[in-house]
Amino acid sequence: MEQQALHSFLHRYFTANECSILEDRDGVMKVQLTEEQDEVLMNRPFYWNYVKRVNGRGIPMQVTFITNPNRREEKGEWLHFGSPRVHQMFQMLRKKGQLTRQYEQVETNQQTSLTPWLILNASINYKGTQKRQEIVSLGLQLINGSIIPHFMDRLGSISLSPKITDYCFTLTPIIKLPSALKRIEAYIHGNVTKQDLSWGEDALRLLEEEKQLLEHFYKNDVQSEDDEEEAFEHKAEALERLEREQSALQKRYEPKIELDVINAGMIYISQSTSSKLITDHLNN
Amino acid sequence: MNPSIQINTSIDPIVATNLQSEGPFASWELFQMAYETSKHVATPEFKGLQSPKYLPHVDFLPHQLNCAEQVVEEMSGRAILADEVGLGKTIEAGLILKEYMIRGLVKKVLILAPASLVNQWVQEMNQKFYIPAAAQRKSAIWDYDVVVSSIDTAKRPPHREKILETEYDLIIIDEAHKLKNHKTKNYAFVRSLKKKYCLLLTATPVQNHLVDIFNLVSILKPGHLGNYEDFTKRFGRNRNQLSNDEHLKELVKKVMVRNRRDETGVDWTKRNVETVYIDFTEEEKNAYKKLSEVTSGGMAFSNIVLLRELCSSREACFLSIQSMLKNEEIHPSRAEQLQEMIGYIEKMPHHAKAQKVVDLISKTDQKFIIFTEYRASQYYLQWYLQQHGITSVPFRGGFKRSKKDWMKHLFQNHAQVLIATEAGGEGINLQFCNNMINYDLPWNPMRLEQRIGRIHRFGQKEDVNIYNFAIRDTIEEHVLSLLYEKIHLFQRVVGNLDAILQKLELDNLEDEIQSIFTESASDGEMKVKLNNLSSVIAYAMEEEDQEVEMDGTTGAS
Repeated sequence: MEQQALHSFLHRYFTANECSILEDRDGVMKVQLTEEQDEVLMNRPFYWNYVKRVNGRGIPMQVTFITNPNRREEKGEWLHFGSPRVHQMFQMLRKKGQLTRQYEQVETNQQTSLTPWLILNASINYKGTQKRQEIVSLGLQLINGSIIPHFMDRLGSISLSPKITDYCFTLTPIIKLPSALKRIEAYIHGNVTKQDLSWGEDALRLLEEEKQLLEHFYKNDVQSEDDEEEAFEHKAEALERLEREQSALQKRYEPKIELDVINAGMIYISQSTSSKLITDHLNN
Repeated sequence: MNPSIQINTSIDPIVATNLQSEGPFASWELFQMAYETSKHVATPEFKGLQSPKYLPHVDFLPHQLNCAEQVVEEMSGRAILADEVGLGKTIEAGLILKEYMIRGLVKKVLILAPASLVNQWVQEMNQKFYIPAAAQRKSAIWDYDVVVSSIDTAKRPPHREKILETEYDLIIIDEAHKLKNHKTKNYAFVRSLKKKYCLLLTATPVQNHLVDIFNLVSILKPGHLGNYEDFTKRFGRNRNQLSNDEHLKELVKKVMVRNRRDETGVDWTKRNVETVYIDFTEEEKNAYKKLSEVTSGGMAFSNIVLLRELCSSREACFLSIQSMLKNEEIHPSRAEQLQEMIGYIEKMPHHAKAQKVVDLISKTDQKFIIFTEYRASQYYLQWYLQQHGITSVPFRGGFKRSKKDWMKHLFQNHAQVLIATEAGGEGINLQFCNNMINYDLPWNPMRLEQRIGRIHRFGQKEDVNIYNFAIRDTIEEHVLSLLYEKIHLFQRVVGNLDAILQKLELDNLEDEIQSIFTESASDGEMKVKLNNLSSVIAYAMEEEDQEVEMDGTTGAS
């Protein structure tokens, strides 16, 4: 199952990155890379450096990727979701897919206004003794300030294009972007604080316990009143070690919640679709 | 809500600036895929291991997964991994490292390992775990986030300063029992490293004294076992109290994972050991006799070398004699002796052992590894096997990594035999082969353990056959029958010989054997001494095995 998902991912990846798929049968895919993808994926910086220096034209490679476990032994590169190659693709996507601007495709011969929405996808990182992530996708309507969660999923059924359709025009946002971001921050903050935070309390308790053990360990060394040179140096060293250990404990246990933006975009949506999005959200 | 939990949900204002710019904008498809990808690699739960699903090509054993989970979830990433030898401590460490990297908790890593294992660590991390680790050689490689180094390299300038100022997220120390003494420079060095998480790997967490474990734990969690004064007052330097103190046992369990072979539920294939005694031909016998007679009473060191070589191949012996003759300080009478020896050697037919190898191997299509101590014997055997239509590839420790891999590949796919010299013993795993010939025997039993460990390890699906060759009525037979067989060296599956020899302060058994041969006035004396040596080792082994059984502290499982 995972391997099939990977296969369709590869198909989407190479299509979206304008590489031609030369063969695609039964979990074996042969791809003609573009120059850009060759540089991203094939790890041959010296070749591309050389080509650029002599103003030549590089020849991007053709590669065969295998996702069908029954055909692993065939010629080509066997891929799974842990393969470094696949993670290179992931990184590439996160870099290339940071920013977008899309317009709903509307079939019309009348002047139609499109409502501006801000979409922000982010990872909320909860870090105690361990770490977990929550991925959120929020849409903020920039006229009336409605916020809709799971916005990516909601947009799934809408046909979008980077070009605005004829007869359509965009409304000017009433909420400016910097303050829109502030609203999203506040929204996330509100949601986060409503959650079960016992993991954080556990981490704090552990931190406290270990701090005490640590202080006991160094007690005799750092409390020494001896004024001899050797003893004095010994004390200084112990203090330094104690501080280093304390700061390591802090790093290891201190509970933190942080936000990481994945990507963001402006989406212009017709008024009817916009209202539908909001009613659907309210009814759920 | 607890006010001590820091919450920071602020968004970089650059996002607003970018949105108002003229791009470049991603297509909707790319934008969607970036989101989906992030969702895919996110770790939605605090608990559980993510790493195995990133590494579907590795079959992890249940005890390895349990260990990694326990270290990450219950020990907050600071632990002693103390599995018995051969249960995969490196794999457990790799799993933990991978887990922390996936969760974004670890980036900067330092792995300290014995020099002979540095390459193996680098290879395992890269191939098994897809972790781009690099070996620290003389020149600095600080661009890498994951560096493997020997402790000796690391603590020397210019690396020392760099390493001490780096804030490591994880430090792994292999063979950590070498740090048991808190007064050593190595201990001080390790204790001054800046680290968030830390793993100490050792099969023998307590070697001699209870304070060993105190010192190890103090690297991980200073104070966990109290301070030095409390501890020594309570336990002194006694080892036996270890199993008696329930409280201490409980405390140690909180920072140590120890799996035992018989608890892992893994089926080990059998190990068949066969000693093959071979008789010299008449000509060989004469040459051997001549060589052992040249000095009366104890033998000179150089003669022992020649005798051992003669038992391996005439080429090995011949080369040594030649280089001795080139030495200008050689005594004329000695030179005469050696010249005479060459005369004997030249009369020797093909070596009786080589003939035996051919007899054994040509009966079957199975693959064999042959270990020899001498390069000259390696060449000779390769040539001799070829004469009999048997394909073979050579293997030496001095080969570059790429050449080693190539030879391994050739052996796996094309050749029937791999002929390795001693230095080739470490750092290569050959589970696909299950027959081994010890063509001649090293006098360092640790190296024998390593040889056998190349094929009798996880992943071996067949029973393993080990053939030990020895020429009758020679120095070889004595060492094999009076020492190695008596201590059941070849049957031992648990490889804790290293620790036992260290405990007996027999760190260099080779020297020990050598001095028995050089200092004994007669064969009888030599045999008595060898017997005594084997009794001492056998006794210590028995003691160790018993202790392992009753000593619950080291068993935190």
